Amino acid sequence: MADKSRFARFFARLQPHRLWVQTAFLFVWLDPLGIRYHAVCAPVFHCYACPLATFGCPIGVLAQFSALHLIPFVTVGLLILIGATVGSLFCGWACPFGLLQDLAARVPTRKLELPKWTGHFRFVVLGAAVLAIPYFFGEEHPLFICRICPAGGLEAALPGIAQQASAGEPITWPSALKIGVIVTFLVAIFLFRRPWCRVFCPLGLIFAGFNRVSAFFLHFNAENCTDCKRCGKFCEYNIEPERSPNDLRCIRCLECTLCGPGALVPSTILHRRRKTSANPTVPSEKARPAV
Amino acid sequence: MKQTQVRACVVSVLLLWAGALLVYGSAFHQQDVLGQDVNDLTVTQASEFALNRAVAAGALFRDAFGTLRIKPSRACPT
Repeated sequence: MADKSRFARFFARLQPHRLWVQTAFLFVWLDPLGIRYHAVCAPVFHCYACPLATFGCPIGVLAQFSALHLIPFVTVGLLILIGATVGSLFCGWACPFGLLQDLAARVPTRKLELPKWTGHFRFVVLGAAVLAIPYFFGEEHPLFICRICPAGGLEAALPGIAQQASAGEPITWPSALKIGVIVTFLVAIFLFRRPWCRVFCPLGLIFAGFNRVSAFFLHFNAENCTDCKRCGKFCEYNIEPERSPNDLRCIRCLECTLCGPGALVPSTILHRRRKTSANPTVPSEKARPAV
Repeated sequence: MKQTQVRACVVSVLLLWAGALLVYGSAFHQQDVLGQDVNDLTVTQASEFALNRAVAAGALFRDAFGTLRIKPSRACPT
């Protein structure tokens, strides 16, 4: 196994407990102190209309500001800051909506595979539902992102309905489209791994767009790769990490870094890598298994 | 190593951009906002954080003349 930096060893120890790390972040996003500070957005997908939302939703803010023909400088600056530093790491380790999908994926149902081209729908969601439709048609358009967002449906609409029912008030039902989205999402999370993240999530697309240039990245060391393809098997999102370690579809769950030879390691721009071979294309004797 | 240097340069530029946007949005970005009542001509200068709060509450809108107004908060547009 290749020598790993302390940074890589830290993530290697933490990776098996990723679900617990995601759960711990719920104490940040679900407003345990009741401060409800929506003036600032959190870099995760969590509806600000949820009764338990500490911060605002950056996608909701982008869409609403677009509808008002304003530019949310702080929100855009925050998205660039997070993307430039860690890329889509928050998607795999902190997002509560991703956690919900990861938990559902653990239910032992048959899992189907999503074609790679379905990831392009994220561009449509970001370009149309988040930016263009609000800008040209306003918030009242039925395809305004907040009107079709499953996070809003599950985290805001359903609690709102429960609250109205318990208070004996007339219930305001979501639109048929929204109900359809919620039902489809609840079915999909048991059949696919992270369907929202892989097919529709505009926030994940923004962060993943920084994966190739972010300060934190996955480093592929060809010298240590034995072509075992274990990294591809560990990856649950149909990515070939040895070919594209900082892929646009990657949520940086770091499962692929658990491959035995240690060819894929988390790294940062601050790390200096030792050269183990004069010719980097020639695998070292140490890395290759004995024939 | 050269790839890391290129990445570091790009990250630096992006962080500069992010910093500039955050500073401008936090300190300088303000909008004139009126109350919901069209007869109320009191103008408030709302910071971007105040706009974020109003937007999260579904309380910010533009009237027929394009003027920003705040209304009593309502539920998310579900």
